[in-house]
Amino acid sequence: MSVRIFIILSLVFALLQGPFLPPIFVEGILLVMLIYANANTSKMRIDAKVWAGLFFGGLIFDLLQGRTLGVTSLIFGVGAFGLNWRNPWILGLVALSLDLARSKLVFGEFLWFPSLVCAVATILLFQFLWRSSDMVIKLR
Amino acid sequence: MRPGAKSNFIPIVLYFALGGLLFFLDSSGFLQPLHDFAQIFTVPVESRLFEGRKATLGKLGKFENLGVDKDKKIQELEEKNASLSSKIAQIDSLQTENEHMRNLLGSSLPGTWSFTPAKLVSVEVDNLNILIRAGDVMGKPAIWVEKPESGKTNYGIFLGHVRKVLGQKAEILLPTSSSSKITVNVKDKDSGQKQAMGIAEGRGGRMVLGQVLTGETLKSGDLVVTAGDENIPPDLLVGYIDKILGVEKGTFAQSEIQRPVEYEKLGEVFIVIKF
Repeated sequence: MSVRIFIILSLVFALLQGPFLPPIFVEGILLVMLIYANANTSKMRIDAKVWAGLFFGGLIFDLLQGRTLGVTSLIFGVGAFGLNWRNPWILGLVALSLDLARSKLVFGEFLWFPSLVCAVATILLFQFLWRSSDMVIKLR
Repeated sequence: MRPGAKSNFIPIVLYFALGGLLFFLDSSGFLQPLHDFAQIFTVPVESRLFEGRKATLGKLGKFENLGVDKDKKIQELEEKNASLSSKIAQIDSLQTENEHMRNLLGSSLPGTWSFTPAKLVSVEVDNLNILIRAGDVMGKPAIWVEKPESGKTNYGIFLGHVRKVLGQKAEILLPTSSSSKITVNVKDKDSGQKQAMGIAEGRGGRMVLGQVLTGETLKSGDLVVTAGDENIPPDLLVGYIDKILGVEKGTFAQSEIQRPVEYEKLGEVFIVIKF
């Protein structure tokens, strides 16, 4: 996933989340996908452009959902900093933690159901579908 | 320190410094114009999405009963469709507003109160987002009024306070929010007599009545109404006594409070400007 697509998806879901979907939903999986698509595969190092993407993605969520600017960016930052594993279950746990942290800090409640749905989707995605980085390594 | 962490140090520091600075500036209110500007574009989109959600949920509800007697169902649906088409032709937003106003007039609320209507844009966790038209509504209570029924007191339903205003959009903190505490009276559902007093506390999506002396009577179905203070008008319906819980700390009784209305089904609410 490129940074540009992450920004576009942030924009779309920031508008959908609240009026149409639960206010917390896909943030976790978006963050994990962005970092895994762009991180250096051997060192898990995050580029400056990815940090910029995360920052603006967080700002978009805060601005469109009418929340204090910077909160979601800071949560994204902490989540990204902690991402150093490749196990789908741990990635699911990271997505769950990120959604729960955002729901509590931004909306004042733990929204378990959408957070758990996001975590399960993350696990399934990385367990069965996300093979692109492994294939790239083999080809090299 | 993990490999590559050193060269990543500056972006990370910049990231958190900038995030913290923005948070500080926005918390202090310096970035309010930015929010106001953004809401100009987002409110119409959110409003349409919320309407779309309500329409989608309504259609899904209709499909639940399909499959038993198809011919009969088709006939019923055709009749409903014809009926709805004629209604759609008649009803417009002014008529809806007019109906709400009539409900307001038929309620038991004092005639000296003044209101301003506001359209519901969306429901987020324990907040209602509304579209305000004019006036200073910050901190004002919001209510909703049901269609009057003969022989039944039509209380205004307390929805909470306006706690944030962003341009044309305002946010109402519902009584189910964990930061909400309201002094309430409990009234008998039949006689309307005061039975007890206590505090309705939000517990995140639900409400609990606490601080009720054990000597006072709580019955399932009794009305929980606001006691009234300088910010909250009296005798507005907060909910109904649901499940009676155990005695708290030996002195006080507790009960669950059932919501008086499904917040997502509201179309228009009223802000109480003066009471």
